[in-house]
Amino acid sequence: MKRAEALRALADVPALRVCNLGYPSKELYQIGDSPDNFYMLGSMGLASSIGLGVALGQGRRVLAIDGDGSVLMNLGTLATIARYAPPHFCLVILDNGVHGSTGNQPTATSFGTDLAQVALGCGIRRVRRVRTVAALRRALAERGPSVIVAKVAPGNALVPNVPLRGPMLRDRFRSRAAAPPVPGSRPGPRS
Amino acid sequence: MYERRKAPSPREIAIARALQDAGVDFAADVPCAVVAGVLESLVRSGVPSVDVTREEEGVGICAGAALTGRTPVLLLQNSGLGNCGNALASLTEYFGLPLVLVVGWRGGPGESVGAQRPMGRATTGLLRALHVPFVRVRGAADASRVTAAVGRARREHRPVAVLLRPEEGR
Repeated sequence: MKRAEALRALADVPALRVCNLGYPSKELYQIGDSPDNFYMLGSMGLASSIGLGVALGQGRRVLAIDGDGSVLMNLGTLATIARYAPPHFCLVILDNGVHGSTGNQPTATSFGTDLAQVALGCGIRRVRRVRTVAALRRALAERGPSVIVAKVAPGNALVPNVPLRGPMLRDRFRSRAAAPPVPGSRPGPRS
Repeated sequence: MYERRKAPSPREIAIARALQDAGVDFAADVPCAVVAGVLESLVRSGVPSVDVTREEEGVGICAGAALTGRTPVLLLQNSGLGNCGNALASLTEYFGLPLVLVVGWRGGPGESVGAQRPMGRATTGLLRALHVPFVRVRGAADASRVTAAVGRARREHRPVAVLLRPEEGR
């Protein structure tokens, strides 16, 4: 499947979405911009971590949309996700085997690194691998897969930059992600 | 959390109290002996915390928490400040998110590990280069500086740092 097809399936899910920088964000913006979307724009490698922080801070479902190159920059994130494992959090790795936003330089997943196995080895219990849009939609409909590795073809859609600046993205996302505190409870880890 | 041999110092207790009173309600940490008691005190009073594998990951998790309206603190050692420069700049600063860094500042006078000294010397210059304002807390009496720093992070939507020398505040 093409990455844009995977992004369309992800845009259809009622959830908060934290999207990796570069072409994934540009494509998601064109496919289905929403205040539920947070486009990273910088800090490569941290989509999974930002998404985990959003999930630990409030109760809505969170999809962190990441790439193979970015996850490889921050592999420790898989151990942290396994440890805290909020049930409403899912990391979706769109694995095209290349750094697609910088000229298709191959990543380690093109030479045998298996991110689904790495996730399992880190202790994540529910890991799904998908190769088609239909399988991706089925995995997203399941209750709580923590990691989905979706194989997608290299290649980018012809799309412009996301025309939104940082504080504006922050404010509109926060308007959807800020959970009112419940008296007497402290949501989040170790509560 | 990991086992600690000694109880939090008065400085660590005062910092934790000041952080909470000023609105900090989420913590992430990479273990550092200098600030471990701050984390322990925060966790004891019910602040949710996440142990992370590396400092940059902590900046990301704290950014996510800030996007839900929380005021996060990241506890780390100054050796790890160099691991999170890009995240502090292109995530925390660019999106305008509050973040309090509580930093154990190794590499000063009396440092026994030679490899700590270069980052010890670079720490304040690195923070200045990243436009992260910082305060130094020598003892429990300096806790009002922490209150002011948290207020600035929340008001100005930015990262701020609190530096603790290990040889002080014992």
